[in-house]
Amino acid sequence: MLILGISAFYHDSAACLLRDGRIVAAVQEERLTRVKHDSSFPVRAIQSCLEIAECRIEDVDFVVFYEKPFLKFERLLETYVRRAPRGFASYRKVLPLWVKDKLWMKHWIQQRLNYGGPILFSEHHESHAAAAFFPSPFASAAIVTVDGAGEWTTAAWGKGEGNDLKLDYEIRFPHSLGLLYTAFTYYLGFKVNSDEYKVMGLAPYGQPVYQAQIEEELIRLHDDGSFRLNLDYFNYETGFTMTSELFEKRFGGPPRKPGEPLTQRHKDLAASIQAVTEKAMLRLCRRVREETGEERLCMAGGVALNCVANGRILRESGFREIWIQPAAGDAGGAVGAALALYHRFLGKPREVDGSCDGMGWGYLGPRFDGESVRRVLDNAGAQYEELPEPELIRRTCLKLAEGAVVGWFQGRMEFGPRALGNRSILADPRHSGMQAKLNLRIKFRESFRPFAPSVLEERQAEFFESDYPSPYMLLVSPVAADKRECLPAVTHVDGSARVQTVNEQQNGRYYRLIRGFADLTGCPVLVNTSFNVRNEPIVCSPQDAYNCFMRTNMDVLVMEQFFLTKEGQEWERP
Amino acid sequence: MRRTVGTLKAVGALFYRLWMRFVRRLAALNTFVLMAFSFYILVLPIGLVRRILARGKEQEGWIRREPLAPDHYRKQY
Repeated sequence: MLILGISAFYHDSAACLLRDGRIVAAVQEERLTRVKHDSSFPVRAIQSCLEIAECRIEDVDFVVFYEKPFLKFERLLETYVRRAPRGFASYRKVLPLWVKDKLWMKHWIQQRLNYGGPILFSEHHESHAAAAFFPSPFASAAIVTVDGAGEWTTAAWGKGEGNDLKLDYEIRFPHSLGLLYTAFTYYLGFKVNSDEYKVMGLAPYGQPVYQAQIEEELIRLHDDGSFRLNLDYFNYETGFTMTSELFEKRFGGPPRKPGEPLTQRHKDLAASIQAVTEKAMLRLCRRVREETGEERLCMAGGVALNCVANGRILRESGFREIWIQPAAGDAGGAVGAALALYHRFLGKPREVDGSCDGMGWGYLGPRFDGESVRRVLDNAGAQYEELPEPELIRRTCLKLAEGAVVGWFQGRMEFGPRALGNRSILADPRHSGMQAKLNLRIKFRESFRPFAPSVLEERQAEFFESDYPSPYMLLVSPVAADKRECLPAVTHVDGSARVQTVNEQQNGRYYRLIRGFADLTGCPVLVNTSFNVRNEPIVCSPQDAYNCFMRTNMDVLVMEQFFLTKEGQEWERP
Repeated sequence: MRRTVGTLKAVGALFYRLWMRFVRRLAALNTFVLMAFSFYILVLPIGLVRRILARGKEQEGWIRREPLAPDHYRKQY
């Protein structure tokens, strides 16, 4: 049985294909259209999923959309009704879009895919909850979903058991922890629904001096983990901006414009909203732990990508184990909708072995074999060597140890926002200037942005103050005090790091590369950042990877068994 | 003859461009009028009445979710 899950029309459109309950493919549209956070109907992602599964759209038994368009439309209308006479400027722009396109999802699917089978609809937070619980390695668990907004829900919690789940409580729009964080993202001059992680990265440079003010004036955090916003400070309900004039007045002026320098005030604001978010999430999760009595927690929704908060939840909320959907944002909704349909609507059983999850370590996208890589390189006139794996790893490790920056492209593309060793840029974390080199010369991005480490799972506890596996790079933990000076490129200013643990079962070749580097240098850690440049999605195809390699100051490119150095190519320094 | 046809084509193309520009503006105006009508004649009065009726009734904290019926997947609402 084939089920196709789709998420679209908000941000991060994606498709996911299940075969008999197993995820066989999941792809984000942005990787194929090369438009970051592409929200358009994911025709290419769907096509890619079908190609991976070697089937046609006619073979698909059910198509399921990740939310209910009519309920979302109702929320929009209700919001305009509640705020009128404010909001006409937004109303006259947004409403025609919905009436023309977004309401007619069934029609879109039928027309764009030429699909005549049943089309069903999950609910936004049920999709998140299903994406959090069903692929997790737990037989039963508490579930927490927190994001900007679904149809009405902005946060919810409940329980999952066997092949069923239930969200018991919720907080409704416009009161939203996700939108509060996004409001600060906007105010700090970053892109909304896109750059929230930059605020998280900026936070350790500041002090949470505005935390008390935010908690007094903007958000009331209740003891039971719920919260309520003071809407006088926000404009997102019916306006084109996130924050109101009152917000600007209280926090010292208009929003920062993109490109303007980041001052200490901006850093303090980032630290403050990060502290508030961590406090809110911890309080919520502690409450859920008490109410459900569960020892395991599953999370999804955009706020679950806040890996600093996740690290604290793991350490301080009382849950023994946590599992976070690697595509916790709306892209993962496609996975959740398909799984919800399979288990909840069709009543199919769920198998859990307690050790391995159902996300295939995140490698759910298209694969490009050696021959297609060779064709791209030949067409481009590239100079390359074809090497057996041991030699390829030896040469790559030598280059890394010399301080080279390596583009690493292999196997199936990752699903979700993190590069996990198949579409990654790698470097030596022991070099003190590596962070600045990668930010300014390779990725052309802000110099404050931190980099994450990949570490051999069995040696994680030597280098980081955690032995909890983090294969999806979704947990931040402190770097061991005696190792901070050894790993300057991945140690953030507060001594933390967003760790990816790697074992052989998860990604054999990447594991062997890090082990080779450890054998050579004694350091079982590599810098792992996504294979892209600023404002571009992560590369998908060998052509994307080659283009990115040639446009940046990257020193080496490894694609499958092919090894290229920049000196061997004809190129102009960007 | 060829010159006449060419001139006619150019005039036709110009007319088409002007016509489309006019039609687009008309459509924008039309949408504006419809949207303004629906907003100020429907949305605003309903909003004002509901605001009076709902004063002090807004729920705070966790809201209990109604269990979703098993066949809710068939519905878009």
